[in-house]
Order: sequence, then C-alpha cells, then structure tokens
Amino acid sequence: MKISPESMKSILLLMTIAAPLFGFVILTLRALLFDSAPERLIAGVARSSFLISIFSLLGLVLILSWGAVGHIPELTLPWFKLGTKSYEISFASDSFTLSFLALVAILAGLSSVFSETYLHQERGYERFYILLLLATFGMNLVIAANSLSLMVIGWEFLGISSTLLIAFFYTRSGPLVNAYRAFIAYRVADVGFLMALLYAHHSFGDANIIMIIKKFADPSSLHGDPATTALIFGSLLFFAAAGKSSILPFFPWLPRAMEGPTPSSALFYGAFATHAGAFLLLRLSPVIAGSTWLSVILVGFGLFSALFSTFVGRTRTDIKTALAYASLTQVSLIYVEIGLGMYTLAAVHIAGHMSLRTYQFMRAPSALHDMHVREVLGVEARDHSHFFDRVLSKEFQTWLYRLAFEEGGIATFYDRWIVRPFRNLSGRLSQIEQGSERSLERSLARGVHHLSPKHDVQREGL
Amino acid sequence: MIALLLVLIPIIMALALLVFKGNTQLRVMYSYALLHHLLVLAVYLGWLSDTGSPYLGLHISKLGTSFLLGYTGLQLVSILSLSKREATIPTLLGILLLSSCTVLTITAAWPPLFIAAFIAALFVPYLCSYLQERDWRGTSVLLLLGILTSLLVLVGSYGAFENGSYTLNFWLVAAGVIRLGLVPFHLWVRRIVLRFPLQWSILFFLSYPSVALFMPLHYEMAAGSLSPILMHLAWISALYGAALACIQRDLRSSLYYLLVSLFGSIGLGFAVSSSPTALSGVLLFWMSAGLSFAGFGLVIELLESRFGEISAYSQHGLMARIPKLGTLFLLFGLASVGFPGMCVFIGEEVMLSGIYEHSGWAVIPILLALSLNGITVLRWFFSIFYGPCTIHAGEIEMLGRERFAFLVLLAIIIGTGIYPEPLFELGNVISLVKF
Repeated sequence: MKISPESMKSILLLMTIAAPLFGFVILTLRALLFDSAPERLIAGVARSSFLISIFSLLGLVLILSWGAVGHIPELTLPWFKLGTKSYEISFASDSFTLSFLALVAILAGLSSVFSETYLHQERGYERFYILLLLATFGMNLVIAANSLSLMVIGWEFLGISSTLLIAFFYTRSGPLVNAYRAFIAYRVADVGFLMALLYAHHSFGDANIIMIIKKFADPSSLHGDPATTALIFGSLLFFAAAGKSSILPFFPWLPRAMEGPTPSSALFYGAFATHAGAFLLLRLSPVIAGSTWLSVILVGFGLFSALFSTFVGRTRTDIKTALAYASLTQVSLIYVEIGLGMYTLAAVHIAGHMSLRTYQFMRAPSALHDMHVREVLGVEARDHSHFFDRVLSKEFQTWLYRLAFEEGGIATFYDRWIVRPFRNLSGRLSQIEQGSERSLERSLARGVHHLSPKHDVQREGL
Repeated sequence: MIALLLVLIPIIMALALLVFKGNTQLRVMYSYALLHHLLVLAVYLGWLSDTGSPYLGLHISKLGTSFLLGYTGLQLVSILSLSKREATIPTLLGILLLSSCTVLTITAAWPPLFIAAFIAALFVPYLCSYLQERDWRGTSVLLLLGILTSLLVLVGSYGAFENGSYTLNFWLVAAGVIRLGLVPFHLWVRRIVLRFPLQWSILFFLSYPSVALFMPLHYEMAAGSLSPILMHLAWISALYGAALACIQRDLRSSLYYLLVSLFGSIGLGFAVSSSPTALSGVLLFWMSAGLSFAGFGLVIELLESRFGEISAYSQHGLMARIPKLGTLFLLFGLASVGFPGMCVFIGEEVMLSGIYEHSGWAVIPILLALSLNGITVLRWFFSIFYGPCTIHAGEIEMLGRERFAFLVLLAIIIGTGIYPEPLFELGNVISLVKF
C-alpha cells in the first residue's frame, strides 16, 4: 500500500499530538485492571510516548524541508453531525503550531526522564506518569486545535491533571487545600471559555479558529460592530486565560501550587499551565487587535499583575515560591506584549520563558547544594543593596514589605467578599429548606393523624 | 404487540415477585432485566418489528426505541449491581412498576394514555416509600405531591382536549415542573435520594425527564406565555442545586442537590424547546448525564455498602486502600458534570448552543452551576479518597458483577464521548419528529 506524502503528513501530525494519549490510555487501563507494575514498565511507556511524539514531528519537519508537498494542510476529521451542522476534529499545522508542539514534546520528555530517578520508589509513581501524559496531551490539543471546542477539551485536561498533581502528596492537608483553590480558579475561568465558545457558535456560525481569524482580518464579514464583537469575545477569552495563568483579577493560586512534586511544578508552572492562557490569546491575536479597549484591559491587568508578583516574590524565602512569583511576573509581561501588539516578541518570550523556568524549577531542589559549591569555590554573594533602599523612607519600605508579604490582602478580600458570603447564603438556604421540609411533614402528618382510625383508638386509650 | 409486551412483562414479574421468596426474587429480577433489554435490542436492531397494538394504540417509534434501549440498559446494569441487602420488595416493585409506566409513556401515541401513565408513575415513589417505611408522616409529602400533580394534569388535559389543539397549558407545565423537581417543588427528590438504594433512585430520575421530554412531543409548546416561567424556575434550580451541593456535609445530600441542579439544566432546555438544537441537545444531555449519574450513584452505593454513611466532617483517605474505586469515582463524577472527553460534554455543548440561540444570558447560570458542580465532585473526591487513611475495617474488593457494571458504563460514557454518532442519531430523530 502506497501512502501519499499528504496522508503521511497528516498521520505524522496526528501521531505527534496523540502519542501521549496512547500512553495515558495504556497506563490507566493497566492501573484499573491489574495490580502494581514495575517502575521500568511505567517509565518505558511514558518515554516511548514522548519519543513517538518527537520522532513523528521530526519526520514531519523532514518531509516539509524536502519541499515535496509545500505547505502543510489542515488536518480535519469528521466528528459528528446534528441536523445540517457538522462538527469536526480539526488541527492547525502552521509553523507556529509545530514549533510549540516540538517544545512541549521536548520539555515533557525531559521532565519524564528526570522523574524516573527523582520519583524512584515514590508512592504514586504511576499516578504521576498518567497525569503527566494527560497534561501533555491536553497541552498538545490547546496548541494544535483548530476549533475552540477541541481546545476546551485540552484546556480541561490540563486543569484536572494540574489539580491532581498539586494534590499528589495527598496524605497532607496543605496540598489538598491548595489543589482545591487552584481547581476553583480553573472552573471559574472555564465559564469564560465556554461562554466564548457559545458566543463564537452564535456570532460567527462556527468555532473554527482559522475562520474566526479570517473574519476579524476582514471585519466587514462580521455581524454588528467589529470592535464591540472583539471586545466581548476577547474579554471572555482573557477571563479564561487569566484564570489559567493565575494573573489578576484571579486569586494568585500559582505560588500555592508548588506542593506537588518538583518535576510537575517545573512542567506545569514553568511551562504548560501558566503559558496556555497567553498562548490562547496569541493564537487569536486578530481578536485582540480588533478592540483598543481590549488591548488596554490586557496591558492594564498585565502591568498590575507584573508589579504585584515581583513585589510579593521578593518577600518569599523558599526557592520554589519565589520562582513561582518570578514566573508570574514574566507571564504578566507576556500579556502586556500581546496587548501592545508585539506578537512575535510574545511568542519568543513564551518559548524562552518556558525553557528557562522549567530548568530553574528542576534545579530548585539542588539550590542548597549549589550554594555550598559557590562557598567552596569562594564566589562572593551579590550585594543586595538597591537604589530604592536609599531613596525610600524606612517606614514606607516597611509598609510596602508588609503589603507584599500579605499579598496585598487579596486572599482576605476574596475570602471576605466572595467565599464567605457564598457559604453563608448557601448554608442559610439549606437550613430554610430543611426547616420547611420538617414543618411540612409535621403539618401533613398531623392532618393524616387526625384522619387515621388509629388516632381515635389512641385517644380512647388515653 | 411488542410495545404491549414491554408494558406487561414488568407487571407480570411484579406479580411473580410476590409469589417467590429469598434469592429467587433476585434471580427473577435478573431474568426480567435481561429479557426486557434483549427485546428492546431486537427491535432496535430490526430483528423484531412493532406493528402496533390494536387495542391501546401503543407503538414504539424510532425515537422511543433508542430511548428505551438506554433505559433498559441502565436498568439491567442497576439490577445486576443490586446486593442482597438492597433487594427488598419495595425496591424491586418500584423498579418494575416504574419501568412499566416509563414504557407506557414512551409508547403511548394517544395523549390520554400518556397522561394516565404520567399520573400512575407519580404514585410509584409514594407506594414504594410507604411499603418500605410504613410511615404516614414521612410519605405524606409524596402522596400530596402525587395528588396535586395528578389534579394539575387532569385540569390541564381537560383544557387541552377542549381546544382540540393539544397545546401545553399552564396546568400541564406546572405538573411537568413538579415532576422534574424544579425549585420550589423539589422536596420530594430529597426523600427518594436519602432513603432508597441509589440504583433505584437514579433509575427513577432517569424515567422522569423522559416523561417531561415526551410532553413537548405530544403537545405543542405555547412558547410565548409559558417559556419564561419555566426558564426562570429552571435556571434558579440549576444554580440553587449547585450552590447547596457545594456546602453539604453528607454525600447523599450533596448528590440530591446535584440532581436538582441537573434537572434545572434539563428544564431550561425544555423551556426553549422551540429550538431544534436545544431539544436535541437536552435529549443528548439527559441521556448522557443519566448514564454518568448512574455510574456515580453505583460507586457511592458501593462505598456506602462497604463503609456506611459518608460525611465530609473528616477525610477518609481511601485512596490508599481502594485506588481503583477512587479513579472510578472521579471519572463518573466528572462525567456527570460535563467534563470533556465524555459524552455529557457534547450533549451539554449542543444544549447550551440551543439555549444561547434563544437567550444569551440564560446560559450564564447553567455554566456557573456546572462549574460549581465540578468543584463539589472534586471536594468529595478529596474528602473520601485523599487524606490520611482513617477507615481500616470493611470488605473492600469489588465484586465481579460490580466490576462488570462499572466497565460497561465507563466504556459507553467514554466511547460515546469520542464517537458520539450513535447518540446524535437520536438527536437527529427528535428534530425530525418535532420540527
């Protein structure tokens, strides 16, 4: 059987995206059907999945560089049909997508290899790999999906695997509370994404990303005012992205997510989860460009988040939390770049930051060792005295330190004004319902009791 | 004739139950469930054709066959997973009578017969509840609701027949609202979820939306006047159920509110059933959510049968002992609240698209409710399976029939999530029937 170069490219693209899914399915089925497996087998399945992904992508790049076929076509597979409307599984395969697919495969593969020794004999070794593979598949979908429906699937996979990895050490309460917080942020942000998806179906007739981009490139094809459409649609996307990236107006859950094992922190909070939001906005950049107000929102929130994170990060004493805030600062700056229309810079920034931060997180457990090496080598510590130390008064510095240390009171704000009123209201409603049920039963029973012949017997007896 | 047979078989089996005792009762139920499902399957595959009953006008449409296939399949799985302890006469009778009423509702082509089945089904929970508890006080709520709904249906039907147009009027919609358990008529749902085996409760709640679904097929919806009332009640129910599910301290109460929230979402789909997308979507959503909730209910039932009532006052740490059940709990729980990759997500997307076509604002409470429901499921997962292990007693291994039930359900949920064409055939059929 002869396979045409066109089909070969489609197969290779599909293998690049879906290889982690196969690994995930194999390990999950194994875990559900059989008892414990040797670590070598688990790591082997994960490693093979990442290798298949990387080599498929290499093959695709080779075919393209030989120039036999020219550009890469979109890969579209039929999914289901409802009435006259068809839903498709569609993947974009431009050079931007392929570059990020390659980066994800390499970073996930490295993390997998690193974890083989890092998590050796750890309880939950297989669970870690299952979640790692699911997250990688989710990220692949976010990057390569050509429809918002498919992107939502990847988005959610990323969210649930991230949550479960934060709660990896599940016998301690700290990871559970923090995982729960992160999940709440994800779910609230998902409302924005799902609204954007429905808005796209209704306003553009479809949720195909390339089609949406073309519509915004030619605003006359849009129904209604293009700027208003861009503002509504873009704001919903920004809401979703902000939740995933843990930037304001969302509660900064990211630094608390460092409870998971180091390789997962490196991959999720150095690379995948934090950048998925920025990637989404970058992918739909013509929408951002369509509304000045939307750009102002992005730049405003981005700058504010960057300042907030950099201040708070400087008050943190543990390496992983400090790195998390540093990561948040950079991600916030990427949002500023997207808001200012510097898309190429934002793309390079995402790629560079993903790589550097993953490396830094993986090195984090060796920080003490590094410090001792520096001492032995006689490298002097950096002078931390700062320009602002001389300019700002001591009182103001203390006030600023306290403000940053308490994260600007944002946790207290959310707790006091959102969580507590919600719990109080729900609790009150629950009490009212139980009370009304009891009184209804009592009054009905009284009525039935009077009608019942037993009642008369009892009364006579008395 | 096949339709008549499908209505009569449960009634005959119900009579047989009263004759047999002990283990034979459970065997009777297994045989019944298998026979019922196989008959429907044969009709679905075209091996048996239904020519219609000459006496009662019963006929299984293509839509009805697909519907019954799902219902009898779930019934089979639920009965197979019933343990000896749960297989009490009220439970078994409830399943059989409910099944008969559901088949009658789905196959009745003549509205008065549909109404009779509707009313009969209303008294099934009361009857079973009374047989189980022998308590007037507790069951009087169910009796009162049954009588009230029957009156509404009778008054409404009289009005509808008088006009000769079979238009859904206020009374019929009110009956549907009570039957769907929308706020503030949801108290009866609580009694059933809290007092009965969950397999039975889930089957019960699966049959109810089917009745509500066939209502707009039998009658024309007077959209202009009644839709807004139904819509407001529906979104309030969805949000109310979700908000209260979040803070409950016992698992069954939380499940009850999750069901109220689910019925709210379904009710909103019905409220805008003038849109073909919404009606198809609501059918898909109901079918897939029913499957997922059945799985979720089975896992909870299994946990309760092993460890007793489960509360959120402390963490139980069961992951260390039963990781497989933990995985199943999470999978079914997330599937129930529309997690992507599973069939509910597709139904949810189509239903929400249909609702959005009608009113963009109406989807916000549903999305918030789904979001809160996801948080509730994860909260329970953490509470039951994570934390230090505190429960050391109890038989924990899953039985063969339980494994079978879980695997079948999981395969259907994930399979139709990846390849939803069979479910969508159903959606297309309903569009053809109605529009």
